[in-house]
Amino acid sequence: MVEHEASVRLTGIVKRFGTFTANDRIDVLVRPGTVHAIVGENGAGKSTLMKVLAGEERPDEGTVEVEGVAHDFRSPRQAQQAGVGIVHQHFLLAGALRVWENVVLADEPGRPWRLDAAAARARVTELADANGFDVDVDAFVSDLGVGDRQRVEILKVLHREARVIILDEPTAVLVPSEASALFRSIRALTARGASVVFISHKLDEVLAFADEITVIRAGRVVGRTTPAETTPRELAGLMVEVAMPTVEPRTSPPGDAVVLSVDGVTVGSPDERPLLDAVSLVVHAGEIVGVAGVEGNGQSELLAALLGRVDYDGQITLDGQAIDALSTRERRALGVGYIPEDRHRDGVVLGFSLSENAALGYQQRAPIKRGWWFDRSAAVSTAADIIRRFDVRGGSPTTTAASLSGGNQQKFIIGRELGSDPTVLVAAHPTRGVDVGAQGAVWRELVTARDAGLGTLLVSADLDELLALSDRLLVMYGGRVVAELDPRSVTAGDLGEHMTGAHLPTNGGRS
Amino acid sequence: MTRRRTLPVGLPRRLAVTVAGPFVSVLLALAVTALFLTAGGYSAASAFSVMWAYGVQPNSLVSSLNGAVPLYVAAVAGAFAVRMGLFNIGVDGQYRMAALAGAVAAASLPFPLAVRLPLTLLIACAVGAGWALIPALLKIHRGVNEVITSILLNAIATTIVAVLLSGVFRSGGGQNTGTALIDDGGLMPALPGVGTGQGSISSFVVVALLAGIVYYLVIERSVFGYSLRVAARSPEAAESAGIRVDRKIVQAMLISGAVAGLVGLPHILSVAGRFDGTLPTDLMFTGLAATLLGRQHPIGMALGAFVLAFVERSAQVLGLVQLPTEVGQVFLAVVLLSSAVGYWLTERADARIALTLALRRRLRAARDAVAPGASSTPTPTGGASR
Repeated sequence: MVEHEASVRLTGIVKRFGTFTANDRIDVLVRPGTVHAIVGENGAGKSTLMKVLAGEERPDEGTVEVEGVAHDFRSPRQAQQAGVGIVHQHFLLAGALRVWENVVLADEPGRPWRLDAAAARARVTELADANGFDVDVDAFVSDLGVGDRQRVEILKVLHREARVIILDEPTAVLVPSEASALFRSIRALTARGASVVFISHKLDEVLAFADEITVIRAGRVVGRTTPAETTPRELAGLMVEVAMPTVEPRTSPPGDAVVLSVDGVTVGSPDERPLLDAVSLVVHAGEIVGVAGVEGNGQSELLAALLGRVDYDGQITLDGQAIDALSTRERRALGVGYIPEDRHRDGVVLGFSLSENAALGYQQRAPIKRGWWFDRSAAVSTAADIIRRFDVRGGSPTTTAASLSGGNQQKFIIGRELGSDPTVLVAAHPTRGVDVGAQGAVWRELVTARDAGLGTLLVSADLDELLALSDRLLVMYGGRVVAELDPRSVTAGDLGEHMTGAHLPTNGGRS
Repeated sequence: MTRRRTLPVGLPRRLAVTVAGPFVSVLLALAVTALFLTAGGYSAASAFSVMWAYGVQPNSLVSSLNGAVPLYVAAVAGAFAVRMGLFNIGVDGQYRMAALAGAVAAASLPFPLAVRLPLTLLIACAVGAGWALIPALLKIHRGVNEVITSILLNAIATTIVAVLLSGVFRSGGGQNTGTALIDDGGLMPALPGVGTGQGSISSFVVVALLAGIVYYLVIERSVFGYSLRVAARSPEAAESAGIRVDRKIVQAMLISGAVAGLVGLPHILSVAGRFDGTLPTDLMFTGLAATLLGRQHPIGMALGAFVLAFVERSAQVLGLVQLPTEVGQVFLAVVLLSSAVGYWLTERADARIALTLALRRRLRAARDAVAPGASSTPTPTGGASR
């Protein structure tokens, strides 16, 4: 085999989605036999870049070179033939098939019309042994845990003789012992000449296992380094960028009354790593409690538990009343206002008129509910109120939610939730995908409601927003609250370290 | 000022989109039927004129109306499910099971008409609902598609009805394959004051009318109907709003099945007087054609049901003039197919138009924003006048 200087060389990769530039002239060089980490926040463009390398997306500009040969991949298949394999964060396995069947699926040995089962099984066994994977090749995939499933995915890639292996957030679903087993296997692969590219936002593991690191922020490469040359603090500072808050500092202190208390809430099936791990927090009246964290560290589960949409262990009290036994509907009726993570998925019904959307979540209460009846005129006047009070532009009670711009949809949702005088507001990403003007309006509304005594739990991926609005800032990592910080004094590097778990090894967990 | 011009565009557009689908389907059905006739060497024009002449005779119109009643009830049953995003293809089995139960109840309950008739209807509803509950439970607990289970349950219903009819409820001996005859104290009376015999209208028209009104009130005007529509359009939004989607699935199927339970009764209680082999077996498909043709609108489905019944009735005359009576079936089949396609086409066209309008609005808003003096005033007035 010829030795190349670079097993992968990406030059000037540009990938746009509409007007959004996900990758902006990215250069990456992966040397043979090394582990190369691509780090960055959610939405920084890491996954897009890897999809370009794996032939799943075609770049708008730039070149992909694998082992010295320039390629223009039109399909993942072509990338496989060139020796590039990708293991996705969400596994793509057939649960009803056995391990060896999954591995050879779509690349079966034997003639086209006959599967050489014995040869296939032997080859998979050999592959597993050679790489030190302790998996039962005859087991059904549906019976395997996540760690084993991931090994099956890696075997799939190896079966296709990949010499460049991409792992997309490989440790997101693994417990620490499985993660270290994974990294041992990765070392074994690189020792035999393969190169591994892995995506992560966990700095502790990046520093422990990578040979080289490329940091991406907002679609651009902002740093190239090696673990020996950098520190967690420096990396975190590169990954996370914080602008100055634009909200006036508050003049009145928050109240003392606890409106929401979450005590030791755990979500997850017993034999896997819990998605939400013994989270405790309180929200006082007139206080905004921010929850920071890279997405997928338990925030969604926390929201679902608060709304009563998942089963959980632990206790949640609303205004002193335990609500664990209550349904979503009863919780909403008790005054849980909810600004959902994804407004199109569960904030509005796009095809419905604004008056019908004004009733969403309030359909079981006066004035919308009158006996059995849905009071249409009450819905219309509620919608008209929201439109007027919260300056929703471009809509009337009879127009559909779909005809509003994203920012105005969001203002409408916030108006609906604040207009009902909730006891506590659970707000997730309230300004995601809205323009700067609407963002300012949404922030003002949240601050006004806060000053009127509303307790708000604000989950956001936007650090500017969290620092601007929060009175206290909690950081979630791996399903746990790992830090409580003062948003007035915290630095970007410090926050970044907590969000990426870089604090954990030295700090030993919760602070 | 430009804003005001868009106002009248909205409503007629909605109306046009609503009417265009069924209109296109019926035209398409006529065209295909004409093609079918021409290909067979017949004159389409003369066939249609014979059908029309026969169809508009008073007796035919009454017969069409009576024929439209079960179709309409089946259409309403289907629509309850469609509004929850389900396709209750089990109306077939549900109405046959319920018709058998209703025939037995009407013949054997020892009560006067005023008690026996409502009880008969209730029992039929309960049996229909019960049969519809099975696919609903399989869907929410096992994730099995309701279309598949209800088709299979139709076959099972056929067997159960046959076994019960021959083994348990059969009355008399020999060639007699029906339940006991229902006496006058159990039959649905004709609508008083409209005519007798061939020209009488079954009081089931009233039942169908009530079903339509209840459908409208439940779906469009009740909190339950609102929850159902939210759950169908956006399960996630429903769950966050405190609406349990799985419960809505069960409830929608129960109601759909209950209404389906009434589909066979006009035949049992107004035509045959018992359950026997004469119960029509195509009521569901023709009824579902009316559901699609009428776009689940209570009045639209009534028109659809009448058009379909009219075609069925008027096609009967073709045999007398040596033309193929299958014309009626061809028409129905094409309506069923094209109403689904027409629906899809008009939905797409509607989405296209809505997008264009939204873009134009956006452009106009951008223009208003450039001229700040103009932007602040028209927005509130434009909103209020709509």
